[in-house]
Amino acid sequence: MILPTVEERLDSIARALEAVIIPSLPEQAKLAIELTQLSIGHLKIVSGQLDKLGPLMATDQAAIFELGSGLAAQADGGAATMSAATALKAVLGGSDRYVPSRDVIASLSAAVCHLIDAASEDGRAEFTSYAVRTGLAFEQAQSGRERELFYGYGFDSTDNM
Amino acid sequence: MNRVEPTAILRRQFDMEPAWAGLVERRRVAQALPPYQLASVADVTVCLERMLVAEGWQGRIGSVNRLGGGASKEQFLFDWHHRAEAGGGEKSCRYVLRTDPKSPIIETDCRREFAALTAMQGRVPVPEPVLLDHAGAYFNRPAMITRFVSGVTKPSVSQDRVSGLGTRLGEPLRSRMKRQFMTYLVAIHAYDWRSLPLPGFDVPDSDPYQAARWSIGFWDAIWRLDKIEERPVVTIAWRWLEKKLPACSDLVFTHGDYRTGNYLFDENRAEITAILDWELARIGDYHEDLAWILMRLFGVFEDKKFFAVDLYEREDFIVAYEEASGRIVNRATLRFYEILAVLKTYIVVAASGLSVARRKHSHQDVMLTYMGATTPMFASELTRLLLEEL
Repeated sequence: MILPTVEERLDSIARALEAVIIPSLPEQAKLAIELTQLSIGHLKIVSGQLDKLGPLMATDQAAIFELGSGLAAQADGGAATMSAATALKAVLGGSDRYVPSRDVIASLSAAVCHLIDAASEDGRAEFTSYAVRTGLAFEQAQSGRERELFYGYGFDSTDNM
Repeated sequence: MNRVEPTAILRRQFDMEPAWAGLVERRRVAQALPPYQLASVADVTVCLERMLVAEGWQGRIGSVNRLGGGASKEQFLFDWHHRAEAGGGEKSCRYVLRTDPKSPIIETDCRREFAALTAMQGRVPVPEPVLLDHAGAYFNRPAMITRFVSGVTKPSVSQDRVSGLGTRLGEPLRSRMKRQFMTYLVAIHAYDWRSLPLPGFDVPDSDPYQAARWSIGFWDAIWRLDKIEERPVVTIAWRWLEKKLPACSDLVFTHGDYRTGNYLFDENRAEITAILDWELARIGDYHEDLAWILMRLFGVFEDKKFFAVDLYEREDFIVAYEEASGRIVNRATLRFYEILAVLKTYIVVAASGLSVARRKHSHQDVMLTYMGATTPMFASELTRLLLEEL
């Protein structure tokens, strides 16, 4: 086990800021106090998120793979749509589904968006509608997971969900 | 007469107000600049002194203090001591200096803000604009000085029965301030820009769809410049907006960011003392301001009841606006601007804010990444609204 842990290091930085740095800032240094308080909040939340990040990225990657695979398989329309579908298939084929990577997720998202965009130009009506419906269903699940991760920031509320 | 097809006009073109096209170009150029170095208060004081002396002010600067709050501009509060007229003693006035960091979260033109504040004098409560340095002659970046107005943007005592991202007022402030909020909104929209033109503001009147097109043209350009990652809901939203462009036959002066949190008020008197943040003001469709105000994420839920900007329930707000302004609220147009409003905020937090932070172009990078935690809320809200349109 790596010691000290990342959590221990982050927590100790937050405590130094909270217990030593802020009390020694002059009262009129409002921006410095405000930004230090934000930094403390950030550090504490990040510390609490560390365990969740790996599994969440794996879930995100599986979800975008599923969306991309469905769209690529169903793509139907003119030259723009079919070319974007080919490009998406190439990204899917060149990416490892099971090794979580931000770059893979970003590349797949870009290729998916390109296909949705192209479908709005010359996709067959059924496919365009399918792309929008599955795209929004994906977003519903994706943003739900992200909201849960960021809930600790205190901006969100169950009333909005 | 040939019918204008809105989608044909927009597709892949950045049709936008010329001044805003200039802002997009300025942002593009600024992206290549090195990280921003925060100027010390002492350095700012020296620049300020130079500016005031050059502008013919006679007297001396008192204390200069950096202000907190806000996620975009750098703000300083300072006192100016000068001799009172007619042989009186020394007098002191308080001012606010606002400067842009290297890349503000939203690219704006302080000349337009200055013009808007000037035009609004005596119509709605606003800080009096005093000096403008658009070219950055004194601070190496645009700067503006206004008179200081006292007030708060949120109650000093928190409201614990409410939840949400929006600023919380609660009762009795809600009941006591809602009419003022409406009166000033209607007064802004009633500004006669035809008789009293606003310098630097163009009019989107080449066809009925231009007001909407200019708005999405600007935000589309900002999205393309600042985006960190593509997101399906954003692509779907752009295409939906293109297809649903509303016509506008009643162009008004709009504030662009009119909501609780962007005005100062006196807590004891429950009186709005100054409407702030005019950077996004333009001539456009009044529905754009209404949709901004009605955004769920700027509102507050109290006991499961929704209050837009914690002042009005949704339908009450629409009815009150129609009665006070004499205008009709078109629900389809409102929906267009509601979806655009959420998309705009998504772009601000998920693209512009994080792009600025990644480039280290602001003194408040930590605030921008903190605010970035709202990204999924806006993505989720955009998804919800678009699903309702299926």
